[in-house]
Amino acid sequence: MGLAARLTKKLPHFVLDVEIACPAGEILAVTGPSGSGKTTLLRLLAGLDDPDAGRIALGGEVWRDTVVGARVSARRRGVGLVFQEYSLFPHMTLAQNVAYATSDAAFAARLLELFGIAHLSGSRPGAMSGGERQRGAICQALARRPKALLLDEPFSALDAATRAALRDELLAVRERFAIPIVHVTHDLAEAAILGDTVVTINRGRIDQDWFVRQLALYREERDALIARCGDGPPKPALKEERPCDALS
Amino acid sequence: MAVAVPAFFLIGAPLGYLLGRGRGRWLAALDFLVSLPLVLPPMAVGFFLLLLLGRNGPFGIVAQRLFGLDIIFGFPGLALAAVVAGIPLMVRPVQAAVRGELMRLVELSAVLGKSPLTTFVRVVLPHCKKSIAAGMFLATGRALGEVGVSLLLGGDIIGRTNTVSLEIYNAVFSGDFQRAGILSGLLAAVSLALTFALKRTGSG
Repeated sequence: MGLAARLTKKLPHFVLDVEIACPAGEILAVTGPSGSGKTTLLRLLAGLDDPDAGRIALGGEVWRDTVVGARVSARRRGVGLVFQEYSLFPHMTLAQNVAYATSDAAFAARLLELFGIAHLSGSRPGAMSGGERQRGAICQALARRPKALLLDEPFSALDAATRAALRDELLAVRERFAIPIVHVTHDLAEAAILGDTVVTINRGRIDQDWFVRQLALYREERDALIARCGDGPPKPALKEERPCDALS
Repeated sequence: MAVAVPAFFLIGAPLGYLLGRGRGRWLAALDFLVSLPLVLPPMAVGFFLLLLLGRNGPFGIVAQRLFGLDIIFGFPGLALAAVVAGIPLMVRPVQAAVRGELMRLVELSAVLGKSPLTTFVRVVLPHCKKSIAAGMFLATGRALGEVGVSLLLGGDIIGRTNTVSLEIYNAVFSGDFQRAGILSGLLAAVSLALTFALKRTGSG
């Protein structure tokens, strides 16, 4: 079942006015500059905010329709949501966090195995690395067998290697769970790698040209960097060595 | 204290959470109302409550008609005085603890399908436990030392509605300084123990 939404919401500096669709088993990457309305879009899909006008539906199940007044609360939408931070309850262990989302203990344990973090079951989030926490958050989101998975810049605080590993794991989730996944990111490369479809939002509107412009800019910056550092990273300027320095 | 201490937790913790996360005119008015015992002189608070809860006051008449209950000059009046005096000090630390991080966790819990009550018990209370403990200690300490509201609502009837603080006043008034000294020492010891517990809570 695909996720489809057509939404309008007045924000402090512009009006968010977008239409998106994400079929089951696909990743819709939503990218754009900071403050363009990406996270608001995700919150509207999750039911944490309410649109001024519009319709959100998962297959034939209408979550919100402002015309007929239909509204399914965030509690009952059955989505999995992962934030950039605070996606795990800090006072619970990892196992308790995942168990909070499901009564199926065997499934929870299998998820932790699948993501390679079963050995951290007894650890609290504060004692885990950023990558482990986000793996745990994805486990928690998947534990309730969500109808759709919503990710709000989940990898942006991680180092490049961990980010790459988690991207692969997310692609595996897409195959295994076959649900619509909406992935919000400001990282163009991440959007391009993960997204079956990439949507760019700029000041509340879909603006696919922004993505192309940014890619061109990115290419220019990359070429300039290669031209400057073709022989390796620039060497630091050394202070002129004086004979007496060796004695000090 | 047998009524006031549980009331601090049962009323103060949800009220602090509600005031911390909510917006709007009604909540602002409630916030102001909760702050009143802190800013008004206790005698004035006691007097206003006496007008409202007395036998001819609007709430006093209702309590008498519905439950046959006299609030003032009895145990209910004393318990209410302790709760009114302490509740602002219970509410404020909890209110301050309700910040962005907690709201994000509350939203996460809702998305995971949990009811507001489950979220409050399993997410909000554990997250705010230090603030709740601090509030409990402060409110209990304040309620123990309360005199003004207790005097007006309880009436300081010997053997019935005289609290330890009022008994110190009675002892001094009757020239029994030894009794006043012992009771003052007792209250000071309890207050110091609460302060110590508060410091332990903050650093623990």
